[in-house]
Amino acid sequence: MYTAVRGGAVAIQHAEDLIEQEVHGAHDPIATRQVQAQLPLLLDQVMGEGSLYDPALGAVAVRQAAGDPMEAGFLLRAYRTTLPRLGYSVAASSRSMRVVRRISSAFRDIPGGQLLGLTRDYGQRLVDLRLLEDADAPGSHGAAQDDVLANGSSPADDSGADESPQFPLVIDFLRDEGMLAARPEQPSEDEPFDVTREPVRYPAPRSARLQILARGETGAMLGMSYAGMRGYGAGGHGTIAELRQGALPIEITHPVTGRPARIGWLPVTECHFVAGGEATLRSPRADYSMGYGVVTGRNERKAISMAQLDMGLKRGAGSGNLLDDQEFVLSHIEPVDAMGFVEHLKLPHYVTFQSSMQRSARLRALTNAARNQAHEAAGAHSH
Amino acid sequence: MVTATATAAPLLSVQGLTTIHGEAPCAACVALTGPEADRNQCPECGSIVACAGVSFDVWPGEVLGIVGESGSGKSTVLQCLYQDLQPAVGAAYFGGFAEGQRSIWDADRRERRELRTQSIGMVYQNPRQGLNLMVTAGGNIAERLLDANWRRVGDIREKASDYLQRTEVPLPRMDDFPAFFSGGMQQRVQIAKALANSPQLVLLDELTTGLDVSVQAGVLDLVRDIQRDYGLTAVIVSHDLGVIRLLADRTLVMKQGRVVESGLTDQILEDPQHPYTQLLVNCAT
Amino acid sequence: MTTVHGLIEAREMTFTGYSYALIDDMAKREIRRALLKAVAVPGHQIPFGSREMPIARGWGTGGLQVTLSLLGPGDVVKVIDQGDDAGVNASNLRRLVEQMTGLDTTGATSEASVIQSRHRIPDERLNERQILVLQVPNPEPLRAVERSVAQAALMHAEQDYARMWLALYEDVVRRGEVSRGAGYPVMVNHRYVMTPSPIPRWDVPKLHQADALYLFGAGREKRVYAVPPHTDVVPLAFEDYPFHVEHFDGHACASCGSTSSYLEASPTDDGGLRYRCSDTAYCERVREGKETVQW
Repeated sequence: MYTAVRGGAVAIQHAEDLIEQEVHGAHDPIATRQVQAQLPLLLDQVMGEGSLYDPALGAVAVRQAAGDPMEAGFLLRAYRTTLPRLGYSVAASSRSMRVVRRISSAFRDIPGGQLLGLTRDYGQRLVDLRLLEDADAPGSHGAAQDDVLANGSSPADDSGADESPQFPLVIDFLRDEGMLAARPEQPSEDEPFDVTREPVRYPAPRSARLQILARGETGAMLGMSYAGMRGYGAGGHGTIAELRQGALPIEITHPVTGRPARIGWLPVTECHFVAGGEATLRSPRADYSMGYGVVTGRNERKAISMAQLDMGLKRGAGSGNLLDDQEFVLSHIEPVDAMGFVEHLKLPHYVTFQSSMQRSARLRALTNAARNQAHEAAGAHSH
Repeated sequence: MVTATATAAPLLSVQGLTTIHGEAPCAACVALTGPEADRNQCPECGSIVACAGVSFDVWPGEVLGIVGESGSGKSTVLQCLYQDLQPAVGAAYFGGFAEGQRSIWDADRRERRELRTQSIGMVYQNPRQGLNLMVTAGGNIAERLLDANWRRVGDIREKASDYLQRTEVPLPRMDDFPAFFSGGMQQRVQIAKALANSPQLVLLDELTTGLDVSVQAGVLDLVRDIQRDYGLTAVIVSHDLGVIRLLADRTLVMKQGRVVESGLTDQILEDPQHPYTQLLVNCAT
Repeated sequence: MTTVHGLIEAREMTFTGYSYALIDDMAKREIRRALLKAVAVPGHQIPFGSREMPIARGWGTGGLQVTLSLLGPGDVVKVIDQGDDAGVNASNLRRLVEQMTGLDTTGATSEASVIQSRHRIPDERLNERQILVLQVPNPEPLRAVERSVAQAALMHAEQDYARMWLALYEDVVRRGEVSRGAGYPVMVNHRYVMTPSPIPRWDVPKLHQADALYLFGAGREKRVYAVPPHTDVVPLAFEDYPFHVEHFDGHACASCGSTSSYLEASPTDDGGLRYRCSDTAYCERVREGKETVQW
C-alpha cells in the first residue's frame, strides 16, 4: 500500500517503524561492543565530528544511524549539548603524548627515530576475499533491505515486485506544462564516456560529469553543495521536484536474441532538482532547468548534493565561481585521488625538503650580506 | 606635427566595424538604430548595436581622437582593436600584423596575443583592467618584455626603470605592488606598461576619467610629451573635448554607435558641422 | 630465455587470477602507446586513462603503471624513494612489482634495466640501456601561474610562457634569485616547459643530453611525458641569474665520505646536523670501494 505523505503523524510513524525494523529487527544483530572493538576508525570519525569522545555512546550512535557517520555524529552532538559544561581542562602539551606512531616527511633520521606503528599506507589495497566467508548470498543487500527492494514501498507489503505501483515523475508534469525543457529526442552521446578508461578533458561530456559525480565523495560534495546554496555558486537553493529511492532493473542486450534482458536490481537514490529563471522577456523558453543526481544505494544527502552541483555546473558555466567550474568541482570530489594525494604528504620528502632548506639558507645569506653591506656603508659614512 | 600625407599607407585602416550585443540579433538591427533613429537598441529584437559601419584610417605618428558621450560606442571600437571584443562585421588592417594583408580580427589565438603584447599597447580607463595589481610595478612592465624574450633581469629592470621614470613613477616604488598605489600612480604605471616593447600603436581609453582634477593635467601633459618624444601613433577615446583638443590631430565624433563627423581636430572644434558636434562644442565652452 | 608465461608460472599462488604485471593487456598497450607519443614529442604531456591501482593516488600510481607496462622477460627492476631502496614506500612498490611480474629486483643502479624513482635521479650515471621512471605528483609546470588544466594546455600549445617567466622575475625581485628548489622548471627540446618532477636541482642537469630514457608518470593527473636520450633540457633561468645546484659547504657524507653526491642533513640528538648520501646504493658502493660512474 502506498501512503501519501499527508496526515504527517501517520507517515512519521511509518518511517520510524522502518528505522526500528532496520536497527533492531536484524536477525543477527551486531552488538554495540562489536562496533567498539571492530569499527574503531568509523567510531573515531563519528566521535570527532560528534565532538564527544565516548566510544560506547559513539558505537550506539553508529548502530542507531545504520552506519551513516554524519547522522551518528549528529546524534552525539545532540546528546552532548544536553550535558552541563562543568569546566575546561588545562592545556595539554603534545610533548607529553604517549607515542605509538611517529613519522617525519622532512628528515630521514630524526632524534628518537621514526616509528611506523599501525598504518595501512604501505599495504596493497587488495580485497581480502577470505572475508567473504560469512557474507550473505551474493547480491543480497541484507534482510531488511531485500524486503524493501522486493516489495516496493513498505516491508509489510506482500505484493510482488512486478505489481509494485508505478509512480509518474514529477518532472513529466513540469515538461507537459512547458516549464521544463522537453527531453531531447536523441541522447547527446551514443556511448557513455568512461572516466575509468579515458582521461577527462574539460569541458567534460555530460556522461563523464554524471559518472564522476556519482562516484564522488559524499562529504566533499555536501560541503561544495552547501557553499553553493549559501551564495558561492550558481546551483543555488532550487527545489527538489522529486527524490526517490528504490530498485532499478538493470538490463543488458542479450547477445543472442538482441533483446534487453534483466540481469538484476540495483538500489538507487535519485534526485530531480529544478530551478526557474531561464526564460527572459526577449527569449521565451522553458523557464526551469534541472540538476540531476543519482547514486547507488541509499544516500539522499549525496543524491541531492549531486543534483545541486550539477545545476551549478549547468547554469554557472563561465561565472568565475569555483563551484560552477567543472574542472574545480569534478577533480576535487574524487575520493581516491583526494585521499591519496593529501595523505601522500606522509611520504618521505627528505630530498625536496633538503632542497627547500638550501633555498632558505641562501636567502638568509643574501639578506645578511645586504645588511652587512648597508652597515659598512653607514659606518664608513659616519667616520 | 607630423602630417598625414607624408606617408603613403595608413598604419591602421578600419573598415565597416560593427559590434552588436544580444542573444539573437536580427537583420534589422543596424537599419533601425543610429543617430537618426536616436537609439542604439534594436526595437525588433532588443539587441544593442554598440557600433556600426565605423571606418577610419590612422597614419603613422598621428593621434586620432574619438569623442562622444557614454554609450556612443567609442570604447567598443578600442576594445575591438585590442581584441577584447570580436566584432560582428568589419576588418582592420594594421601595419604591425601580416604586413597589413589580413584583418587583425582574423588572427589566431597566438597572433592575437602577440598583437596585444608586442604591437599594440592599451591603457584602460580602470587601471585594474590593464595591470595585475598583485605583480610588482616593475613586473607589470617586465611581462611585456619577457613575452618578447628578454632574458636578462638587469636589462629588464633598466628598461622598466626608464619607462617608470618617463611616466614619473618614483623608482623606489618599482618593486611594490600597484594595489597600494594611488589612482594617478596606477594610471602612470599602466601607461609605462603600454609603452613597453615600443608598440607601433597605443590605445588610450578615457585615461583621465577616474582621476582627481589635480592629477588629470599631469597625466595629460605626460602623454603629450611622450607622444612628442616617441612620435607615438595612438587612438585616444574620451568624452572630454579638452583631452581631445590637447592630444588629437584628427577626431571622429560618434553618436549612437555611428561616426557622425570627422576631420582635423581644430577644424571640428572651431567649425562643427553636425548638430550633435555643435552641441558637444557648445557644452564644453 | 624466460617467457612471460614462465614468469606468470613463477608467481606466488596468491596472485593467480591477476594479469601478468597486474594491469590488463589492453591498458598496458594504451600506456605504451601514450609513452611512444611522449617520446616523439619530448616534454609534452600526454593524457592516458590512468587505472586505479592497489596503492593510493599520489603514492606512485603513475610511475607504477609506466613501469608495469614496460616490464618483460629479462628485465631487472630497481625501486627507490628519496634515493633509498629501503624506504617504506619503495619497499612496498618493489614487493608489488615482484609479486605481479615474478621478475628479479636489485639495489644496484648499474644492474637495473628499469628504475622507478621518486624525487631522485641516481648519483651513478645511467646508460643507454636503462630507463628511469619518475613518479610525478603534479605534471603541470604552469600550475602555479594557471590553475586550469584546460588553459594551461592552451598556453603550452602556443608556447605562451610569459607568465611563467614573470613569476621567475618576481621571485628574483622578492628573494634575490629564483628560489624554486625541487621540481625546477626546464625547457625541453627548445619547445615545452616541463616539470622534472620534484627532483632536487642537483639532479636537473642529469636530464640534459643523457644516455638513458626518462619517462614520467602522473597517475592521479593522468598524464605521461618523456625526455628521450640526447635531448636538450635547459633549466629556465635569466642570463644574469644563472641556474645553480645545491651545494653542501664542503660537508661530506658521514657514512662514505663522498663530497660529490646529493647529501641530506638530519638533526642529531645533540642539536647538530649530520650529512649522509641520499642515494643509498651509491653510498654503499663507495663504502665498498667499488668504482662509480659519475655524471
